[in-house]
Amino acid sequence: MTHRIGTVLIANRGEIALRILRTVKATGCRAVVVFHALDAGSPAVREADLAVRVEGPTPVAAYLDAARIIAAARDAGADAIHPGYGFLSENAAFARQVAEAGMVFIGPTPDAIDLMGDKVRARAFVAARGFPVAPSAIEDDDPASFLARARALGPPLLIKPAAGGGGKGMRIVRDMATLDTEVERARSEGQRYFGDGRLYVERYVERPRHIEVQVLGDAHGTVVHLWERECSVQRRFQKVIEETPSPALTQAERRDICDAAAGIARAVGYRNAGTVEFIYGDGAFYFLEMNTRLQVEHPVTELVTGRDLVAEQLRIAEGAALGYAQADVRQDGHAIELRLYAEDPVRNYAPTTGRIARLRWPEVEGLRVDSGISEGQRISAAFDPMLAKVIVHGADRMQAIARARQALQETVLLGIATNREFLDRVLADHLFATGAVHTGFLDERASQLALPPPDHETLMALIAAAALSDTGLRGEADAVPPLYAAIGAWRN
Amino acid sequence: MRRHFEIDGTALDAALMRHADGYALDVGGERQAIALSPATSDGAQTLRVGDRLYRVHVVRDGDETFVQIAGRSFTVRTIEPLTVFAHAGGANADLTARAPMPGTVVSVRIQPGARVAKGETLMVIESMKLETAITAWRDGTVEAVHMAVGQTFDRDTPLVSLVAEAVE
Amino acid sequence: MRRIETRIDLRSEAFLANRERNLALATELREAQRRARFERPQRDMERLRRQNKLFIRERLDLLLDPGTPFLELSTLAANRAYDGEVPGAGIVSGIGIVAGREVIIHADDASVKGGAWYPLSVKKIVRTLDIAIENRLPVIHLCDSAGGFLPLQSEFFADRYYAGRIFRNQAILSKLGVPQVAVVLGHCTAGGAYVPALSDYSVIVRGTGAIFLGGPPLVKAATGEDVSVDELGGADMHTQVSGTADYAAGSEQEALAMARDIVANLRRPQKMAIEQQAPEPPYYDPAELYGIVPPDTKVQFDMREVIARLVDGSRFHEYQPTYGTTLVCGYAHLWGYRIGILANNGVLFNDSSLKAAHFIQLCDKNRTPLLFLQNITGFMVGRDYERRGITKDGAKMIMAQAGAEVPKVTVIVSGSFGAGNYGMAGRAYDPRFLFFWPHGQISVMGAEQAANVLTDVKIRQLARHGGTLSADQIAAIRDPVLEDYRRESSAWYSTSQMWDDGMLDPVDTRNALGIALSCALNAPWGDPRYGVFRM
Repeated sequence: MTHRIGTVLIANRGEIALRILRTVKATGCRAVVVFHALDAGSPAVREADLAVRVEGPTPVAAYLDAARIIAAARDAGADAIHPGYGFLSENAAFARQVAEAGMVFIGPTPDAIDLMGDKVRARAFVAARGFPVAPSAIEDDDPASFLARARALGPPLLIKPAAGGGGKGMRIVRDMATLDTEVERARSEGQRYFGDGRLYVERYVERPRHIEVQVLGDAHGTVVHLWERECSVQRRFQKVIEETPSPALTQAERRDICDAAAGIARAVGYRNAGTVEFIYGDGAFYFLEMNTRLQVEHPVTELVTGRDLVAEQLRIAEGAALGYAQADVRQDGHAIELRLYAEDPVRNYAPTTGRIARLRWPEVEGLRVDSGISEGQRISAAFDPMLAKVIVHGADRMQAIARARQALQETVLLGIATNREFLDRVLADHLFATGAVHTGFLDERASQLALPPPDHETLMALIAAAALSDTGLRGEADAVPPLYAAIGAWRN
Repeated sequence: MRRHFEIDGTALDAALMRHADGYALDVGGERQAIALSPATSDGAQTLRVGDRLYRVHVVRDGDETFVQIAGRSFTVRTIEPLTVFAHAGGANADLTARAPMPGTVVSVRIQPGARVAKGETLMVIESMKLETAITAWRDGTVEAVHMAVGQTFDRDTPLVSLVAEAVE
Repeated sequence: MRRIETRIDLRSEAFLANRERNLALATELREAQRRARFERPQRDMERLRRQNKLFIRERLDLLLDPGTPFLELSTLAANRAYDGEVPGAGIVSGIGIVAGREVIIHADDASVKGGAWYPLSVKKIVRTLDIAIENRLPVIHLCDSAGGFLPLQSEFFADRYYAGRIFRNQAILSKLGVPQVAVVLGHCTAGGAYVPALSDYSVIVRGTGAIFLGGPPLVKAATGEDVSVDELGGADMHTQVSGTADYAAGSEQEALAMARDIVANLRRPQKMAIEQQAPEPPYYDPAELYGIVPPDTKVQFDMREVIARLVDGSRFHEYQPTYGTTLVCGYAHLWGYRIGILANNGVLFNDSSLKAAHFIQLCDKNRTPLLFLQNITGFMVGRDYERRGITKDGAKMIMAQAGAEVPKVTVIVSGSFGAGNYGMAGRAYDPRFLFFWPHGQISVMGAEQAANVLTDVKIRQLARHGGTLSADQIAAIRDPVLEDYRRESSAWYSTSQMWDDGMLDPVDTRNALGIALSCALNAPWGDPRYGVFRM
């Protein structure tokens, strides 16, 4: 059963709102966007067919106000809502409310969101169907034998809170003699952060690599994967650089991981776009979690497969069949995405705010920029500090890296500190060039990747630039009478 | 004419003066002729410092000059000498705690008029999922709390002020 | 205007000999100035540091606009007085640029005898303020003085142009609308307290600056009251309670920055409009001056060659080139300003005196400032000349020169003797600035001449009673006279006594004159009118 979508309301902001909006309009639909006052000047608001202001106790809360968003969609005559990523995208209640309001939620079913949203439940579901999960000991299964089962796993171990997430409360144990005390500490932290001291323990992969697989499923039960993405370059569990294909995998491993992902999605009865995340290390991979939404780093998949994932999402939401098979999905070349953040690497990556005084994206072969910013825009601390994604495609990894470096170096962005130069240093790093990355890579190589302070000549140049663009200061220098300026610093 | 410059934590004093038909810069006795060409169509300018030429992007906003040079971006803050002196030294220099980074106020522990001891937590702020406590830097009385719970702020925004102590 | 064609042979023996000696004199001058400006006893510099005070040169660096000149006046004042222990008379005076404005600075040098005012210090301050009045130059006072040097009070207190004149000049400056900014960097005691009080704006440094008519010891002796320096006259009291000072600064650096900010708000004066064009360096190298002027006032040289190394493009429009040839007159441009030059090429005769009087009137009518280049032994003497009225003609020259309304600047290039000094705008005739070249000499007559005259007098005296003098006896009379004259007629002595505004290295003259002319244009002058010319 298909039904045409005529108007889509995009319940998001920044670069993703603009990216979705462009595909929506390109497919002939009307695009409506909600926005908080702070985003009034953003490109998405400017390009939308209709923009509706929303408010909230905080700016973030405005984008989480399900009732108001649905009302806005209805008033605008929208027949579908695209939640983007973050905000309400993995909120099953919202998905249900959208359906109840007679609109299409562009994403998976609420049940799939519920299932995969509960990390322990998802893990159990996946393990029961024979997909690889990291060896573990779940306390809930049998609290009395928990410690013994944990010890039996052998080092290294990762202790996780059952009610947790976002990397909080996790502890790595390498020396089994400390297991008891570490478990106690993890329990008290779980209690403190999540109000729940229950734990589970997993085998820890040293130098793990984060490999995820893009999947698409239609309403008729067809599921395909669109190959993998490597997202190991992270800091504080935040992805910084993603690429595809992963330099770590052999072809066989690639097939295994991607087939597993497709199988998991099929087992869930998954519809629309999603990503299955794995931990990879020592030749083995384990299911980590599934994200039931479009991900930030989806463009790298688009560039190597030649498909517009948002367009696919829209078609699937309309009820159309996928129309192609797994064999039709090929990887062509290499793509890298760099996340440009409003942060200051010199000040320990503290978020930065300010006005974007100048912005010029370069012209580089194979470059695509997904940006939510424009020149003159104010960046505040209210939202996530990601400004834009710089994505490049090349014939191979080396060419992609070269193009990415060129794109970063030629980008002009003035007004706030960003990680632009830091990203270039990572790309220039010889270990990165060999592809030997893992989730601890940035921390391990922090000192080598740190930006050197400006040298004396650069400081002189900076002061000269500042002095000459200071009309007041120039005026003071110009105030010296010509005779005296001509004589100069003379003493009799 | 002199100014105080701050770049990424480095502070330097320099003077700009007329020289021949243009300008010269003096930094700690080192004097060089400098010039900045008008902008070309893409906004780039040519900066000359002594014998060296650089292709730069320069934008000035208030006291800050944003410069992109040799692939790197910098912010240069210019401060007038009288302002430097006004902020320097004195028992009452640190009257106000300012935000170390942009963020949101999570909780406020005190009210105006409260007596606080050095080290006592005045307010808790959150930034990028990290919580930081703003503590009293000396014994004193709270004069004002400038931010409310839930408010978002930029770096350097005043958060809490203590009453000025009488100078002996 | 035609370029002067030089006839100097740069390789001649005379040129090279002159050059060697003049360079040595210039080096000697620079060395003496350097010592006077910078060399101080270690304990005096340490005392400054203990008192948290900056050295006067550091203060000037902070006050003046970077990259601008500073024309320091009378650097070597008192170099032949007080056993040489008071370099510069303990005062620094000069013209410079602060916040884009032409100002004159009077600064007490606390590293010299605690900044105490000696008689020559007072004379230097009065002269600085006289220059300020005549040229309408805003004044910046850097106050840091221990007060008058009491043992010599009879030489600086009671007379008309002694210490009282300082404060009278300040009042007159204010009446004329010329601003004064005082920066109190040390104690301003007794009379010195009036310097900030009579200034339009005053800045005072907390902790080191103080203003009071009597310091704590004097107050205690006079009334028994016990009071600290700060309570009696410190920064906070004067800026918050008495209103005697306007701005309190936390440091000397801040005080000087405040002073700059004050000056930046002063009105810029209207300058007198005179003929001007784009400046041009001389065609000939000014360094050639060392070889042109013999370092012996008895040896003649052609002043045109000196002019050629001072003026723009070495171009000179000579007036009456074939009449009165011992005085060279003409127009030139210096740093773009059109000036009229009078320069000696020998003794003044009737015709040269008349030429001078005429040319001065032309410049006065033409609104052209006058530059006098002195190398004069005097007017011609003798029966013929007296019959032709040399005295009358000299008087006409003096009448024109003294009555000229346009600004005058004088440089004593070599000798300045007798009435020639008068006619050629010596000190008494109020040139705005008077400078001296290092080998120059100034006295009522030449040393030999004076010695001969005195010996002659003695010989005639004795002859009346039938006595004679032996060669030794003659020498015993002549030699002390020669010695005294030589000592007391040197440029060094003149500058020590402040009979001039400073010695100049010849190659510095062009810049000094440019600045002098620029300053001179700040004061308006009237239409030409004179006394009676004895015809």
